[in-house]
Amino acid sequence: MNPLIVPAIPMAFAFLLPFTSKFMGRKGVHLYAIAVTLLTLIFNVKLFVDVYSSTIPLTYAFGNWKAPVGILYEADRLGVLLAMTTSFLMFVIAIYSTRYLGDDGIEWYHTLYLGLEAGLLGIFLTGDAFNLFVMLEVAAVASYGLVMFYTEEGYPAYAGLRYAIISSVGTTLYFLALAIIYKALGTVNFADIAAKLRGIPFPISQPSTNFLPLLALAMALTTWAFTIKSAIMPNHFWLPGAHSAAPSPVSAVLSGLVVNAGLYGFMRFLTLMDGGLQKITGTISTILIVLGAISALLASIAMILQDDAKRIVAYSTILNMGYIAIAVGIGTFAGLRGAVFHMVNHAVAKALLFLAVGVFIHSAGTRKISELAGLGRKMPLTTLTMGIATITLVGLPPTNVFFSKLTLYGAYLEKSVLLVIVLIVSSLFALASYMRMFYWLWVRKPARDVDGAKDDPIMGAVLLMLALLCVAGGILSPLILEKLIDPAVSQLMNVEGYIKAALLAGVK
Amino acid sequence: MSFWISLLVVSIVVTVLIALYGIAVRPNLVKKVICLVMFSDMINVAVIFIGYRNISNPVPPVLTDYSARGVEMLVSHAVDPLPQAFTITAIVIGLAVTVLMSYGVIHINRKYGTVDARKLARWEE
Repeated sequence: MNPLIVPAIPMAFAFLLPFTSKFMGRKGVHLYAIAVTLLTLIFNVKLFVDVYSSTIPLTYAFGNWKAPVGILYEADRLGVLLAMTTSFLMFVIAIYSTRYLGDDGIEWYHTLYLGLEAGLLGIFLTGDAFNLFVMLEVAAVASYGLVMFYTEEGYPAYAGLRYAIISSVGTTLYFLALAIIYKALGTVNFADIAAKLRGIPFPISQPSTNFLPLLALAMALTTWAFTIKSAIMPNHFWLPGAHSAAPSPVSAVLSGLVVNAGLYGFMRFLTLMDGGLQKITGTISTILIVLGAISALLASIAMILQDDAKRIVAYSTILNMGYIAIAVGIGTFAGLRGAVFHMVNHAVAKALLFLAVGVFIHSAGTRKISELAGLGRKMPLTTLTMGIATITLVGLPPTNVFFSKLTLYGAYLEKSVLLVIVLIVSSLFALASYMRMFYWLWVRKPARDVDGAKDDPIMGAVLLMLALLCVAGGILSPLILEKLIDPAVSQLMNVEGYIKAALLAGVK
Repeated sequence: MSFWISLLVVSIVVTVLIALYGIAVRPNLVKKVICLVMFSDMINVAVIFIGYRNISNPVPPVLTDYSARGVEMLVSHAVDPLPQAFTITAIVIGLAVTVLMSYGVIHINRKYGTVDARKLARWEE
């Protein structure tokens, strides 16, 4: 099947929504968003099955132009796995949004929401570095708008603006890096870049004679840009503000899915360049391991100091991105396997945690954990799912993150014992801060009248489904690793197959 | 000729550094946005410059003569059009981001009566 259709569906319907929303009521807009995300999910499942049953990545060449001339969409197993996670979570969060949001500006919310989905799916499925830039910007502009959604309160506008400024510096640097790659190799197509570095013949262009210094500069800029996107120390400072100021469903999307884009970019670039440029990829790997370890440690300490429920969860995102960055930096099969598995598991668990915290915040109208005191007893279902989310994120068995931390543990151990210590110490700090949140919600006497608070059936159902998925993902994890993760990683590392698929695309 | 090229390179680098200084250090949000626009515009100039070739009798990079001779003429006498296509995309995206950020600044000013990041950081929440 044609991989382009998956990002094209939410994109097309996002542009239609501002016009058609005039004829639909508030309910109609919500149903529209749910229907579009469901449609995307269905097509994505079809694409997922197709890609997993095919031996080489599926391709789509725009206008049937052959690879380096036209833009190429190339869906390999890693991309389609992450796209699948994205479209599934976007669907359930769209259902959750119907109850969470008020009446105002709902059509604009969903326009941006669908735009964000299109951008994310495009990032994971594209086979062209410049199209990756465009899709990063599509996702980024939509997320700036969504962070600023509660703009009347003032602070979200400030947090969103700060996010917008730092993030656009990042994408602009990536743009410059692209131009330098183009100067060095004469192409921005992923497969073509990999082919040039491996000496495999690819049509149209020739690399310039001395491209190594140019590529080193380009990769330095790319590293800077992607560490901003994925909130790795020292470029993490925008995340807690932006992710906590956004409406809770948006926080779930930003923390679970949008931050993955940067690390996906690292994985793609590092595997593509691994063939001819060990010096550059080695340096970037070391940078990622060191920065990832520092950011995991610092974020876990910062988590304890927060008294804002959403900030605690936001810092936990930095923590987990640090883990994944270390695993991507290690770059072996075991490392990438851990990274991909943890990325998927973290997306589900973090979305669940943000949505569960969101139910409390929605009911209490505040984010201070001291003012949420005692709410937990009034809302047992939400508390239960939040409990599952926290034990999942801390990494206790039998949940999915336990098993992905186990694969990470194995990968870290091959590299250095220090990294394992970082993993364990930061998990303990995270456990302490989650327990603190629980203590306030469950044990403390209510600070004020909470009689009106009760579970919401629709939000509760979404939470329960995600919680079951976390536990099921843990129980089935050997199967998931074998059937989904390992094929994805081995195809990611088989760059020759990626190049071959790109050469076959377009006019025969 | 090479004097002008090195002047261009130096001015691009200096302006990028000034813009980054402004983004990082100046507390005024309006100035931050202006510096961001400066920054992305300078990157655009740099990208155009990457596609530049010093050639005699240049022609615009548009294929008008659909023959082997026309293509040969274009390859030898036109600059590389791809960086220009990149740049126009980046300009369009930059416009959207700038509009959104200006809206944010206006809104902050309306709400708090200031655009000073130091004062705003104190009023978080």
